[in-house]
Amino acid sequence: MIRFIIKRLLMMIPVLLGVTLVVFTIMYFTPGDPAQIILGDMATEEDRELFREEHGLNGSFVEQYINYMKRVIVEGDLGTSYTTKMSVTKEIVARFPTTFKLAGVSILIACIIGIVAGVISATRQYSVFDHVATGISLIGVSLPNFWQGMMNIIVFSVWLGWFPPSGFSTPKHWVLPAITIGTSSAANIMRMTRSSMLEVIRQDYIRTARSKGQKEGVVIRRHALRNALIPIITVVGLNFGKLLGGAVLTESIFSIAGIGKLMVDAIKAKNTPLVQGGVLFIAVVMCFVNLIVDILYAFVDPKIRSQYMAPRRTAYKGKEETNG
Amino acid sequence: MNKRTIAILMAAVMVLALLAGCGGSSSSSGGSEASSGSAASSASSSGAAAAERKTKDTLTVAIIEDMMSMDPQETNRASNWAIQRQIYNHLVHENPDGSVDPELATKWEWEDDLTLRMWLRDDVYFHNGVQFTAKDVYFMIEKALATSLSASTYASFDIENTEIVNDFEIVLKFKQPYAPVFNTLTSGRGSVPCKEYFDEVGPEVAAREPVGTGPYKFVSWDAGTQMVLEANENYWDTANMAKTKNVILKVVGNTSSRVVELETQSSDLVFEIATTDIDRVNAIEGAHADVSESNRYMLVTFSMKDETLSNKDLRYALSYAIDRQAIINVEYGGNALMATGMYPHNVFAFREIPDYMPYDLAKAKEYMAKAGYPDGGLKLLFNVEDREVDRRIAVMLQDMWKQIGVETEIIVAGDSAYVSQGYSYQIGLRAGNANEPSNILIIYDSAFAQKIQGCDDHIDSELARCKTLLDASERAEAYGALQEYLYDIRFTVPLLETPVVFGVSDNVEGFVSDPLQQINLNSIVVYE
Amino acid sequence: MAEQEIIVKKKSQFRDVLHRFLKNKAAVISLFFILLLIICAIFPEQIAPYSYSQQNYSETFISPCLAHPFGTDNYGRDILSRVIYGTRISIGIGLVAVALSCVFGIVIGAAAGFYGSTTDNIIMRIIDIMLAIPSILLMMAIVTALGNGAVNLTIAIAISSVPGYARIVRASVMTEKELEYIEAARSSGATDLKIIMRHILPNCLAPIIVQATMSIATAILSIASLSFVGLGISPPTPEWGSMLNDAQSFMRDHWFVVTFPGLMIMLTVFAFNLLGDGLRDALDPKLKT
Repeated sequence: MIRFIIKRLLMMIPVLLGVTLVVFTIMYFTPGDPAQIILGDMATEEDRELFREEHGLNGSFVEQYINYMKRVIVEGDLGTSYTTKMSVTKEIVARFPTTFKLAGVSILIACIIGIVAGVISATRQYSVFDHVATGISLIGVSLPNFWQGMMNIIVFSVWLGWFPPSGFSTPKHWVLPAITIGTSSAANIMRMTRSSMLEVIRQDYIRTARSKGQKEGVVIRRHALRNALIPIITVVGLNFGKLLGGAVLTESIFSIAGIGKLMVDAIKAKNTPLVQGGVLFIAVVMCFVNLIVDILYAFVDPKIRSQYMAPRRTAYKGKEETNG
Repeated sequence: MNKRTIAILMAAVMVLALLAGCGGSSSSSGGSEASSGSAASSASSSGAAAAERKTKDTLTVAIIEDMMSMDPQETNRASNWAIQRQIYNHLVHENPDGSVDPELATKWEWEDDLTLRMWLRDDVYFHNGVQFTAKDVYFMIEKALATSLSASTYASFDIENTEIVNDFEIVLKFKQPYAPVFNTLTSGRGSVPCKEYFDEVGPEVAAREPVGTGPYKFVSWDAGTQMVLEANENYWDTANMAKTKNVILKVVGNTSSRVVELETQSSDLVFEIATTDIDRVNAIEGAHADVSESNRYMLVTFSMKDETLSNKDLRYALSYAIDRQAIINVEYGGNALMATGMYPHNVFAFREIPDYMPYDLAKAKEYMAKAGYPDGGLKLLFNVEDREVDRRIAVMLQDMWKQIGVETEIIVAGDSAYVSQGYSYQIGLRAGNANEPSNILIIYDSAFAQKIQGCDDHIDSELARCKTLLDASERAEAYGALQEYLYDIRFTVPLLETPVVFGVSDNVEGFVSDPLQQINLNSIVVYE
Repeated sequence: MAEQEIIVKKKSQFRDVLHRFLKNKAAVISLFFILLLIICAIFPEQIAPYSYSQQNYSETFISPCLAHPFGTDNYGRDILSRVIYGTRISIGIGLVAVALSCVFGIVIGAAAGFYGSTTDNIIMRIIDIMLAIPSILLMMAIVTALGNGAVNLTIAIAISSVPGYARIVRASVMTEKELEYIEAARSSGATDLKIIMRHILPNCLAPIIVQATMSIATAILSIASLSFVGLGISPPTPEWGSMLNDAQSFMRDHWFVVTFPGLMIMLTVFAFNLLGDGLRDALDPKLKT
């Protein structure tokens, strides 16, 4: 097990290096002079030259990349944000708790709703509940969540006045954004739970368990759900990772100062150090979530545990949402 | 499902409910939240007379964006300076009429056109207990000249020859006569930082945990969310002590969310209400919109270096095709002023231009024919900044110019992204926000070759000359003539002046608006 | 004789699929809805009652009525007409982007799956890298780098959806290539390209078709999301996401300005998802759930 974890951690290194290279390249070739964007048009050429010197923007592509990587690896320094002049690490650390809380609450709600609805749907296939739940989940997958966020604000904070429309200070503030980004995760989890439960329920050992006279609830929980859990964990992990990467648009709509909003603002402002640092950070988080998912597999399924000597993860072949 | 599953679910639901409940109770017990205040206020106002109104100890302000930096010389955003001025002081304060009041400087004297001697207060202490001295003034200028965000504003200051006479006397030297000096010292970039503090903690910390001499002290800053300030009980200016003990500055980026802040009584004071929301805010019970004149104006710019637009008749045609009243009605709900000259009418040396750019389609078409485009058939690139109002005005202009046969391709991009994508400037839209002619007209200067891409020697030399004219009437005359010249060449079309709109709770007293939104929070009292 | 048999078999296979698909009413309805959208995208001039750009300041914010079923916007433009013209962008870019990413994804995935070892390793690591960057951020960065506009939007969306295809194709190819008939083809002297094109790909067509349908849905959401943050098509060309973005500040007074474009996005995505589900069930009854 430990060997497996170490191996996975080592495998992360080339991926993360690749991520820095990809992002660095994109940002380098993004037109626009950061000096001009940050200083605005009330600055002279001398001002801009000063800025470029301050931020070491005068070397070639390779030089700049090597310098950047040197600083990241040797000193663990992700650079300084152009706009706030604060270190990128601090900037990210300041925002991450918010994103983490939001992602945690959303995924919790999504898991509860998704798994319960999925199990019920699967056990009562073709019932009214199944049809309604499947329909709603498909709508949930199809909703553009920035639009859902807008509608939530209109209905729940403007018309009904139940929840505040923006901010993230008290749990009351969490409700609307959590619902908004939790919806598609809940729908994804529900769909996956349902289909994987259906597959398991048809298996022989379930029939055996039933024929042994075990209670339906026990059969579902102890045998079926347990065996259907692998794909469910995959989807949950996938969605959680995505949410940790920042619910980009939702955070903007609800004026939540999380990673997602930080990244959008940084990309728009061509705040290269912040974009690079942020994406690298998100990539690290996602890798760790994947790792945790893999470890969870082992706990759920003894077969996988023994396989970890020669691991090959089955890829989740499902829909992947892109709008955050 | 068996009972255990249900029990687990129930537990989970209850935990969530508990969380939500906690939120509710904590917000109502904390005195800072307005929700509790409103309940109390309705109870107290029914019982007691207005004279007995209880004041709250916290003022909650919704601001439009997070601070870039709390180091006054390290930012170029008016929204940041509006907050910094609560923490810092300036040397002097220049009033709109041009008179100058003392602040940290008690008096000053021009020894010659290049030498300004200033005497400073000897009873001012920074929030960290360090006394304010001439060293800090010197440090401010030195720091401003070293950073890209302020260097050009301070370009006329001659730091090498500036001399600290003693702790409370300094002689400022200039490279050339510099008329707008008091404007610079009054501006956001003129907030005086504490040298010792910067030396001690370094610029990065000093910019995040600011120390000044102002009426409020910095308490905490939750990046992107909020900043908390606390009254400075040892404020030197005892007449202007902060009246409310705590200030919470909440970042609410979305325009309509800021209106909701007032509706839900979550904020007492709200920055930048959209002009189209004025009626809505006035309809809120317990809040109103404070609308006042600003120094902000919107203008269309034509590139001076573009070949097509070098055709003066074409520029005239484009200017007469603009229905400015329609823009004001549609975009601003009627709450903006028509421009009547080349810059905001309340700025020094403004010259009103008679019959300023009327909307006249026939005349526009006539000029089109004169320009050599009787049937239109012209396509121009129109660069627009990524700001909501700018984008919307651009779409209206696009439709108006279509009426005279000019097609425009709107490209929403920041200036530099635009240029480096291989476009050259043709038409641009600009929002100006300044209260000093030299700052406003700097956009025509060839050194600032951006949207207008200035390349007019006459303008350059006049701008340089005006700055050095220390005599006010002489300066006014020179600026006046320059404005007429600018109207004639018409490389810019100032459209309208936008008002400054604050959303103010009726419980707030002592709020005074400002054309550049540089308001003071220390005079504000909040009643329950 | 043998060839005829194959044709008959193929025909009956197709008939089976069609039969199963037609039984799924939801999928059929969504197919019709999508066809309707495609017609809207091709002939907006004929269908839309008004111009999409004509401004009329005396008719701003008219609530839905007979003349303007979806109401009018802040410039007095008919929202229905703009929604109809908007299909051009959403459907157009969606289809092209998916086609592009499909082709690249198939090539990459097939190469990885077929050649295995080093090739596979390199390709899969690159794909891991792409998957480690949240796709919305990747797309935003690409569009900012390339500049706004339909072409660049298409490229960004296509790039970010390549990994999905590559993985699916790779998985299918890996299972197919172990089968005996590939061995037979190889021993009869067929080239790698021929084996892949003739034998392997046709057999993993089902998951690719399903993935393509589903990813059109994702692409439409992505287009809307990017336009919503202002990285999209330049005005006055209507696009659903940018219509929502532009209308955001009026939504509280005039519910219809954000409701209809949003509903259109939702319905379209919903239809593609339903169609994808239907196709999956029809093409691969084993997977039917």
